[in-house]
Amino acid sequence: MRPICAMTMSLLLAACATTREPRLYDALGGDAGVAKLVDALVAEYHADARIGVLFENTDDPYFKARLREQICRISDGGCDYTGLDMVEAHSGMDLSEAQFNDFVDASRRAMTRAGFAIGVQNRLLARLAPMRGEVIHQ
Amino acid sequence: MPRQPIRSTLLLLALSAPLHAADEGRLQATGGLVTIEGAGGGGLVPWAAMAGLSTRPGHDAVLGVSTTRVGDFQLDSIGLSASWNDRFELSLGRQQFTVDRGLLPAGIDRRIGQTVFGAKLRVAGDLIYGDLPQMAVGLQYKHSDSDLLASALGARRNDDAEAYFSVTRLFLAGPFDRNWLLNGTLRATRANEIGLLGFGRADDNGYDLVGEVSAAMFFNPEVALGAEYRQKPDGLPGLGESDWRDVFVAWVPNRRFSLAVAWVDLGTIAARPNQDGVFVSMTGNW
Repeated sequence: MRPICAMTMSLLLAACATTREPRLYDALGGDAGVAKLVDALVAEYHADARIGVLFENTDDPYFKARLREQICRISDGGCDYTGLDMVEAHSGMDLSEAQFNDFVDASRRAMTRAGFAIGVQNRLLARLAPMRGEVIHQ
Repeated sequence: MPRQPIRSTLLLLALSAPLHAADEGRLQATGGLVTIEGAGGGGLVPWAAMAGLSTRPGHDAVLGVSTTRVGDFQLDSIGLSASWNDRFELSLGRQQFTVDRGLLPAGIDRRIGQTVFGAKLRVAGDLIYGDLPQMAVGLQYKHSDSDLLASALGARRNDDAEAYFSVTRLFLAGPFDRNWLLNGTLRATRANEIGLLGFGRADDNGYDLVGEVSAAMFFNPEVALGAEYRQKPDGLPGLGESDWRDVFVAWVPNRRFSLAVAWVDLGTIAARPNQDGVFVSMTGNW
């Protein structure tokens, strides 16, 4: 559907818009989709040459559980996020803008490899973007 | 791969396309191109975004070449642009404008060259994040080689400075869940045909304020479709200078390379109407 949407954008704006999944959570594939996404993300972060070192001492099962909650929450899946807030979670790391961009790129790579469509990737990144100020320079 | 059908429909993607998105630097091919004047931006319009993919901390340098082929003229450009900390950009551009054989008597040089020195400073906002779009001010000093021609046509001088203010934003997940880049630029200029035909005119030494816009939609991080419009001053009497516009496809397979192909409409140049044709631009950075 997506290539068709893109190619006929000037003609079928309304028609394409109606095919959009109402909840990002559903577009991600619900519980199973979010779990698959989080597995892919965490694997990619560990493997990344630049940001992998930031995850060396991460407790993966705990991190994945919180990340599932966070993504579920911001995609309107109705979950409660029980982890540290974003400022606390990144406090003392003093992440740079460049590192944040590396993180976004790694996330996009992981989503592409896991088969998430570009439109869904964009919607998720749009919801993560406002957190940037609470993540960098903490 | 959901992107595959899109690729196959695009002519320029007949070239072998690497499968990985940009894996470092700024998000989403936001480095853009090097304009025909050397600044970071689209093909014709400078953006508030710095050339290349420099972040804080970091620096980057970009080399861009372009050629524009329309009915009676050809415009070739080469630009070098460097940026620091996603904050400050210095650029150097060189243009060569060639008039088709047959339009000028034998013995007259058919080429006009111009050098453009540019500087751009980001003053507020961010391309993607935060409340404010990225805003930048830019200065360009242009020196056209065409003393004789420019003065014969009625231009006051063959070098000049101009200033611009640009606002640029990448909107994540806009219409069609695609990322959209929008740019608006206001420029104060006295250039005739961007300076190739000199600056000012005998009866008017004032600056004109002109508007320029770009819009692009990213099908995916590697392929964008967009358009530009660049308003230009009225120009020299009798030459009928036009606004310029184009529709482009840009391909950014990785952070080192980008290619744009456009249909460009330059309107009337030197009283020759219907100057539309093809624009091709390649950018490489390191």
